[in-house]
Formats: sequence, C-alpha cells, structure tokens
Amino acid sequence: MNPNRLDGEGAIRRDRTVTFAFDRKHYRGYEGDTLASALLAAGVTVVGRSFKYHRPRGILSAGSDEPNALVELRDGARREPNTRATTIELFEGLEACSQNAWPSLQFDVGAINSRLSRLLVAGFYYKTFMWPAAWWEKLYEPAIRRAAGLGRASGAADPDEYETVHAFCDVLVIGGGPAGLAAALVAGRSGARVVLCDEDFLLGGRLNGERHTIDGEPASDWARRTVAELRSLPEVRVMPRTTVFGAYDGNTFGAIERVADHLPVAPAHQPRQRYWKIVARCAVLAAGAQERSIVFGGNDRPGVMLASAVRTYLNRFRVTPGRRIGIFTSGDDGWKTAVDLSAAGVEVAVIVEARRSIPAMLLEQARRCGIEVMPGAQIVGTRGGKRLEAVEVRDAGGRLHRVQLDALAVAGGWSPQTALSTHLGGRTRWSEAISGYVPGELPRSMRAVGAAVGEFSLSGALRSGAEAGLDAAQTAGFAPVLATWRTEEEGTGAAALWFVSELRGKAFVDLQHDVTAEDVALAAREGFRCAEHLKRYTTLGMGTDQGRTAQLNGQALLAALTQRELGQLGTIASRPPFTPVAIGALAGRARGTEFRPCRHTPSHQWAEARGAIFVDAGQWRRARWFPLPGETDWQRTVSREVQAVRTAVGVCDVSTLGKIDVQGEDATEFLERLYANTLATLAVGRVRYGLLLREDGIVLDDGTVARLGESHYLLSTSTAHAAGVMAHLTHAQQVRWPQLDVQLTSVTEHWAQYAIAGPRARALLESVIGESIDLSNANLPHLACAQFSWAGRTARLFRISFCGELGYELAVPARHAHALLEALMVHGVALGVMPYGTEALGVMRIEKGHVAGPEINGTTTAGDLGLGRLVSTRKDFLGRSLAERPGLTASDRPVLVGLKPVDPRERLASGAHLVRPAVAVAAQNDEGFVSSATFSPTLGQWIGLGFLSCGRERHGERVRACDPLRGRETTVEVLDPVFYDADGLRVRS
Amino acid sequence: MSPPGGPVAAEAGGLASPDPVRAQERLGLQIARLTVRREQTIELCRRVHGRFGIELPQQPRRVSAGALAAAGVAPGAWLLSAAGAVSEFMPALHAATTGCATVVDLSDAYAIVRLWGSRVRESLAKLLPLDLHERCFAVGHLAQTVAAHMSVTVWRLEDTPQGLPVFETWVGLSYAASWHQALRASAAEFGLLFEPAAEA
Repeated sequence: MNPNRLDGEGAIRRDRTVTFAFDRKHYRGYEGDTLASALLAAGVTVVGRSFKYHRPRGILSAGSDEPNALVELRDGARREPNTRATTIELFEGLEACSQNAWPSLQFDVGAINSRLSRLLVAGFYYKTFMWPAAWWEKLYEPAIRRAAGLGRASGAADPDEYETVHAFCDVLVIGGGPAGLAAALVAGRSGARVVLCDEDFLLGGRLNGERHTIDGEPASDWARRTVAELRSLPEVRVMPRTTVFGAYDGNTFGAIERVADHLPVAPAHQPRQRYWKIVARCAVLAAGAQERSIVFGGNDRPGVMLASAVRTYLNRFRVTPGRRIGIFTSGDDGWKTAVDLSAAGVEVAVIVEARRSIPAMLLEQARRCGIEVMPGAQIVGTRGGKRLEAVEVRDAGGRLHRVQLDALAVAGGWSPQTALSTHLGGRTRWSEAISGYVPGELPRSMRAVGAAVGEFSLSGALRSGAEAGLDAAQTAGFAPVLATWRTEEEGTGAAALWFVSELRGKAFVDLQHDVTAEDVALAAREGFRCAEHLKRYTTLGMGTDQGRTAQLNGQALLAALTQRELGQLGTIASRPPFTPVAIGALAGRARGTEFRPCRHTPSHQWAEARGAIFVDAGQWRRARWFPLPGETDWQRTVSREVQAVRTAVGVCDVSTLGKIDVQGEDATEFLERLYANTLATLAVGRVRYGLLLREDGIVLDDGTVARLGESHYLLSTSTAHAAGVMAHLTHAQQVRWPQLDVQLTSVTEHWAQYAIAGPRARALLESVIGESIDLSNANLPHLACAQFSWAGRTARLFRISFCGELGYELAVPARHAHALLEALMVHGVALGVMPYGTEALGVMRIEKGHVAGPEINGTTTAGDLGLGRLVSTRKDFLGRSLAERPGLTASDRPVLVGLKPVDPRERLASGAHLVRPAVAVAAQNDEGFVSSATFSPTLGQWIGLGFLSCGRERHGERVRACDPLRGRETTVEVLDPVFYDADGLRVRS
Repeated sequence: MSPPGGPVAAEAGGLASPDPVRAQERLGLQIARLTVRREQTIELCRRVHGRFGIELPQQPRRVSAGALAAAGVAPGAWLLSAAGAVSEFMPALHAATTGCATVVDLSDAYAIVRLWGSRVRESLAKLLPLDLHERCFAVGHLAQTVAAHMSVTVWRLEDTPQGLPVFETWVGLSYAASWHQALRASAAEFGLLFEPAAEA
C-alpha cells in the first residue's frame, strides 16, 4: 500500500492510521503526515497538471512554497481550490482532487497546449488578440475567461466561521525554526510577553527535516522539548499553524491561524481560521530561507524535487520519493541529502556537483557511502513520461552520460526569506557572499536572524536567534539571560548555479505559471530589462507561490542575457500577504446580518409587536409601515397611514434623528457662526429651522434649533447626517474656535422621540399629557418648545411638523418609550390614531415640498433647494465665502421644483432626467432630474420633486421626465414644490 | 416586554462550560455627562469633591466613591454614574456645578454590560483592539474604541473576590442588540452565561 514508506520514527504516529482519498482513490497515511508525504509514500508521482501546458507535475517541495501540488481540498460548499498538498495536514476522511486536468489527471486533453508552446509564449495575449477588434468581446475574451483561473471555487456560501483576534506582545517571533525557538526561549524566560508563530503544525522548522544534534540530543527532540518549555511559560503564546503574512504600520502584524483546517469540520463554537492582528513592541524575523531550484532541460518532470524537501520527507515523514535517487547540487547542502538517503538505505545513483572543487570531507563521505560523484558536471536533460526515468549529464570533460534513476534532488542554494522585511517599504540588499538577497534596512522594531539573514548554519541560527531574543526582551524592559547550545560542525559552502546553459528540452523557471527559460529570453529580446517588468510580462512569480522557488533564477537568466551582474539587476519587493489568505478570514464575523451593527430605536420591540415592516436607514432599522391584518399591498397601507395623519392623527418614531445638546456662555455665538440663518433672535422656548453649510458652501444638513434656555440649545439633525453634524460641530469647537465656551453632547441615544401629527394631534396630546402642559395655541404656538414633567418623567415637546399638519414631537427618556406609546394608542382609539412609518412620512414631506436626503445630496446649495432667502447676508458663517463662488451662484443652476405628470394616470420615477420637449434624450440636453417621487394619496396621483435649470421661472412649463434605464418617459408639468397647504395654515391650526 | 437594553433573564450560550464568561447587564443607573466650562477645571473638581467626595480623574481612568463613579472620557469631560441609592443625584449635580460645568442627563443613553471570568480577556480580544493584559490595563483604566463597528467605552473594575478580572462595556443604547450578539459570538468558544440584569 505504501511502497515508499521507510521504517524508523520520524514525526508521524504509526499507531494512528488515517484514511484519505485523492482523485476518489483511497489511501492510508499516518497522523503527522501531510497530504504530500502520504501521496509520496503511496507512490503517487503525478499530482497536478501545469497551468498553461497541462504538463504532468509532481511534488517539488515540502512547504508553502510548493508550485505544483495544488489540489482541490474537500467537496461541496467547503471545496477549496489551489490548496498546497505540502501544507495539508492529513485527517481522517480527507478528500482531495487534482485540478486543471480533463478528463483525468493521467490523460489530460489540455496537454495539447504543450505542442503549441511556440505560440503560447510570453506576451502571447498582448500580441495575438489585437485584431480584428470586433472579435475581442465575441471570441477572445470568452475564450480567455474559460481558460483562465486554476481550480474551481465551490460557488456556495462558505459554511465555516472566521474571526478576528487582537494580540499584544513584547516580542513577536516569526518562524519556529532553530533561530525562532532560540529567540522565543531567551525572551520568554525573562518574563516578556512572547508570541511565537510558525506556519507548520509541527514547530522546529528544518530541525524536523535534518539529522542535526543540539547538546548531543537529536535536534527534533530538542525542538519538542523547547516548545514544551515555551508552552509552560505563562506569558508565552505558541501558535503553530499560524502564518504571519504581513507587516503593517504601528508595529502591527497580520497572521492567519488555521484553527480547524486539519479537521474534517471545525468543532462547535470554533472558527475555521482566525485572523490575528498582532501588535508587537519588537519582532524577530526568523522566517528561514528558501531553497532554490535550478533551471535545466526537463526540470519539471515528476520526480524532480528540492533536495531539502527530500530530506524532510525522509527524516520527518520517513518517506522516500524514489528507489534510486540522484543529486544535482552546487553546494554542500545537496550532499547532506545524499548522506541521509544513504543512511536510510536508499540507493543514491549519482551526485552531479556543478562545482569543480569539492571539500575533501564531502568526497570522503560519498566514498564511504559508495556514491558516484561527478564533479564539474551539469544535468542538461531528463527522460521519462509521467515520472522521471533518467537524467542526461554533461560531465566536466564534455561527455554526455545517461543515468537511470527515478527521483532527483536538486540543491540550487538558499535564499533568505526576506518577505516581511520589505512590507513597510524596506528594500533587500544583494549579498555576494551568499549569492542572495538579505534584508536591507529593517522596520524599527524588527530584527532578522538565522537563515533569514543568510546565517545558514545551525549554530549560527541558534546564536543569532538567542541574541535577538535577548535584545528584544531588553528593549521591552526585561532582563533576559543569553543561552547557548552546542552543535556539530557543518558545511554551508555553495557556488550559485541558477541555470544550465545547455538545454535539452523545455527548461522551466516558474513551474506554476509555466514560464520557461525561453520566455525569459524572449522578454530580454523585447527589451524588458528590469525584474519587475520581467515578472509582469512573463507572469514569473505571479502564482499562488509568488515564484518563491523561481524568482531569483529568472532574474539570473535575465541578468546573463543582458550582460549584467545579478546584484545590479535589482529584485522585486515582496508585498503582503506572504501566502494566500482567504477573504473569509479577513471578513471574520462581518458578513451576513453581522456585516454591520444594527441600531434599534427604544420602541423597536413595540413596533415589531405591531407587525411593522422595517427598512434599513444607514445602521438604523426603522419602521417603514404598519400593515393591518388583511393588507397585502404596501401602497394601500401607506396611503391609509397618510390618510390617518391628514384627517385624524398619526404617531411616527423619529428617535433616529440626531439630537445635540449645546450649552455654554458662547453657545449663541457658536451657533451663529455655524448656521447659515440667523439664530441670535431666537427666543427661549422657540424652535427655528436651521441650515448648515459645509466649508465649500454646499448644504451639509438641515434640522431644527430649539432654544431651551438662555445658553442652552438642542439641535436636531437628519438621521443620515447625525454623526457628520456632530463631527462638524466638534471640529469647529475644538479646532476653529477653542476660545468659545461651548459644551457639546450627543443626546440622541437618551431620548425616544415621536412625531404626533394630524388635525387631532392636540386632542390626543391633551388626553395624554394635558395635565402636565398647556397645549393651547397661545401657550404653545407653531415653532414653540417646552420642557416639563410628565408622570414624574422629564419630557420635551416641540411644536414642529414635517408632514404639513398640526404636529408635535414629544420626547421622553428611552426607558419610557413603551409607556408613552401605549398611552398614545389607548387614548387615541377614539380619535382614530394610527402609527405610521417612514414611507408615509416620505410621502407627506414630498406633498409638502420639504427637502430631505435625496435633495440634500452633497451637490446642492441653499439656493438650489429654494432656501436662499434663509441665508443671512448680515453675518459671517461657516461656508459663506465659498457659497458665493460664481459656479454656485450661477443663474442657470438646476433648482428645486415640483413635478406632476400631465396625465394623472402616469407614474413618475426618481432618477429620471428632465429634458425639453422635442429634443434628443442626450446628455447635452439634460436640464435636471427627478430627486424624489411618490404616489400622493392626497392628490390622487404621482408627484415628485426635482431639480430643473432656471426652474423657478418655469412653473407651468411642460418638460419630459426621461428614464432610459427603465425605458419610461413621462411628460410632466413644472410646479411650485409645495403641493399641499401652500399657505401653511394647517401647521398653525 | 424586556427593556431595550437586552435580556434580563439568565441566558446561556456557546460552549457548555463549567467556567464560562459571565455577563450581566446593568440597569437603572443615573448617568450624567459632565463637561467643564472654560477655565473652570480646578473649581469644578473642588466642588464635585466637596459635594460628592470623588476626585474627577484627569486621565482616562474611572474612580468610584460609594455608589458614585466618575470616568474621564475626554479632556474636561466625565461620565458620572450613580446607583439608585444616591437619591436626587441629578439635581444635586446640577446645583453643585452651576457655572462651572454643563450637566447633561444620559441615564437612558447606554447599554452597559459587566463581564468577568477566567477567559474574559480572551473573549474581549476578539472585539476590542486594546491590550487588556494585567500589566497594561489595570483596575480603573478606561479606553474608548471601536469594536465590530460600534463605539465602545470599556473600563476595568475591581477583580471578583475569586480574583477574576471584571470589565464593563458601555455602548449606545441603540446598539444593545448588536453588541450583545457580538459578545455572544466572541465568548461562544468559552461559553457565555448572561446572568439576570442588575438593577442599580
């Protein structure tokens, strides 16, 4: 069943067998396996098809850098495409499928593309789909869209949950390899708050893949022991399965914890993944290094694997990728693989060493193991079908050899994993010593250690990690003690080999995006000379792996082709995220009904109990209408509610309107400077309509200003602009005029407020609060206000009306909302009281010609809204100067008008554009638009408000309301915007 | 019908745990926002201390004296809260501060939830972008922030007799349902027990 599984311990649990399926075929692995290690153990070599040429591909790496082994994990709504088999932790019942192959992985029709590779070169799209232009939409784009993308999304809503967590620490250690563990241990022992993150489920990094010893014990055991100690420290948080994917301002790091990706389904009340926002005083970048491949002919054949990955599969998972394995190396590192394989009893066919001069110690090791060595040789081609069968080697003397083998370990050298060092704008620096880029200037709070700075030896990693941990903890105010460990000597010598010049067969640079050496050469010929341009033109490094195994090889090719040193070419800057992050994890809980908070008024439950239908008004949920039993047509319900207000009395919840308490010695002066109309003459106990302008002269909001005392005002704002007006006032108070004595308090949440309107409004109020306050016209005329005590509760009454009837707004502290409404309803039965919602309110304000959100829309001036006469010419106020700009005072600006279809049976839609009769419906003939439209039950037909150029002079004229979007056109008459009770007698009654 | 703040009756949610996060809604407090008038800080502090025996904190801190608490929520602004036992609190506050501060009654403006338990910090970490660690957010510390798109004021109260940390969150009353939902979600992993609301 598992022909490639070797004896020995490793880090798998042989007593726990796990059954899984790949392409619907069942296999067995062990707890501790990855999908990749279990497939390799089972002898599966082809795991996917490449993106462009559909070439069979095997497993290249043993980590998140994997370009080939991308699979669809799980099924149904949980299907997740492009998941790296090398990072999937095996679980019972796991199901995975290969992708980008049809009809099957073994026989894929798309492989025909490989034959067309001469056509499908870099820049193919840009060159090919240029003509004929008409084909683009009909043929090219649909065809490209079909071919594009890798894997299939489930298309269903994600059934899992995600959440965001905030963490704070003194030291964040990024990477749990030897350097990271050393740093965490030294810092953690000092009592500093340490967070240690590693993307693997087993901490230790390379320690688990190598046969090192630390202080005489196997390094993997040391790692386990160290992790146990770290876990025992109360201020240390050890986070396996956690990838720090980005560094951000304010010492903040983003990390994804895969809480339940290794389980069939997340446990109850647990998310699938957590998005951590970690704020760290100091960060230690111990992200390790990336082994590079070598570009040579046929280097994508299944069986070709990174040498370090071979060691990981061998030592950690006890799996060999083949029975007779070759090594292609240009440094000491590849020899380790040969020795480890030999020690495990796997035949090593040959070591093809590109260097001519090889350390004697290595040669002696090889001799002891009986391994053939070919110094100064290079692999120029490979043979085999869906798996490697032989390699072609050009030896130092120029002779070509064919070596039979079934797997090849490639050791092209190591590149420090510098990604997080550049997220805040830092640039990497070329190091000739290690033939790689190392972190340049680091973010202030970051230290980089170990292989991430090119310190490739174990002793160097431990030492630099410990020192950074010490430094970080000291910086955070602790007194750490340095720790040291004993390790054996090891060789880290290397001479970079990026590519083999002699190519027999297709040589791949970026395996995931099928970018070949020829593509890089073509890009060079076409003048793409910098690394960023090479990336974009050829798509090298633009896959899910971001070309981690390929980027530098491509740049080396370009450098050689353009006769430059690699260090002169410059490289690309890594940006977040380091590995792909699911959008769901970033969204966290903010989806569906929890996408944003919902605000309820104090009488929400009362309205719910009365069967109200609600509407979202910003964050508020407001009662839109209150259908009576049997009412199925909302318009009928709304008309009934309007009718009730026009003929009897209605009650509407207006608690959502913003309420701002303004007090202080200079309150009057403050408001005078803010409001466009005069307020200084407002008497105590009176209310005035107030108009606020933005600094640029456009209307910000309208509302009422009630003077409750000599230096005490209460402002009301529209629901939508409540927060904006508070911010506007606060800015004015704190920044513009801090010398004024003004105190601002938002009191919106404290008060429940109800509009009580209709010819019987006074009668209703008399019966409810008549004993507490004199409601006569003499005592409380239109635009008066009063504060009084009602049944032991503070209450405020404002005689204002938005709907055009005799109206009041009665406010009580929120907890009394329910009692007040019940009292109004009980006492109002005989008067025909009806609760009404925002829709009826909207109908009545249009009938009355009052402007609201659709008119105060951020583009209109006081003049446009017909409120020009309110604007004071005798004082200065915020927005005045810019309101006098020529553009805002032009005589032909569209201004507020009323609109009524000439044919009373016709509808009117807001959004329709106004054009003169007998002209084309075109932008140049546009003279305005309909901003609000409604069916008016009072007038028995549709009416609307809108803006029309020179509208005030055009009352009586007929224009067309054209709505090309809905294919409608209505001839309308231009009218005064006030359709109802133009003399305002009813509000004063 | 329950008051707009949320559940009054005990309610358990999330994981069934012997050590859940505990929550309790606080009702019936008399709350005033006190804002100092121009150049009256010293006088105001003197008068408030003289009348109520409480030092108005000049930092984001919450202090208490008997049934009265004062929280510094902005330079020159405090939220004062009094349990029901303090009779005539609002008129007394008005009288004591006349001429040197503005007093605005906000008794009905907040949904207040008290939270405690051994996992309460982990639970709140899912909502608040604040470092609530013992070393950083001591008893009496106060912060105002945005959590789940809601404005939240949070402070730490004295630990329970068992030594468990206690926090109190204040959000606008209209957000009560959404805030309760957010609290339930964040504590689900540890279990959440909403105890019957406490009337001040």
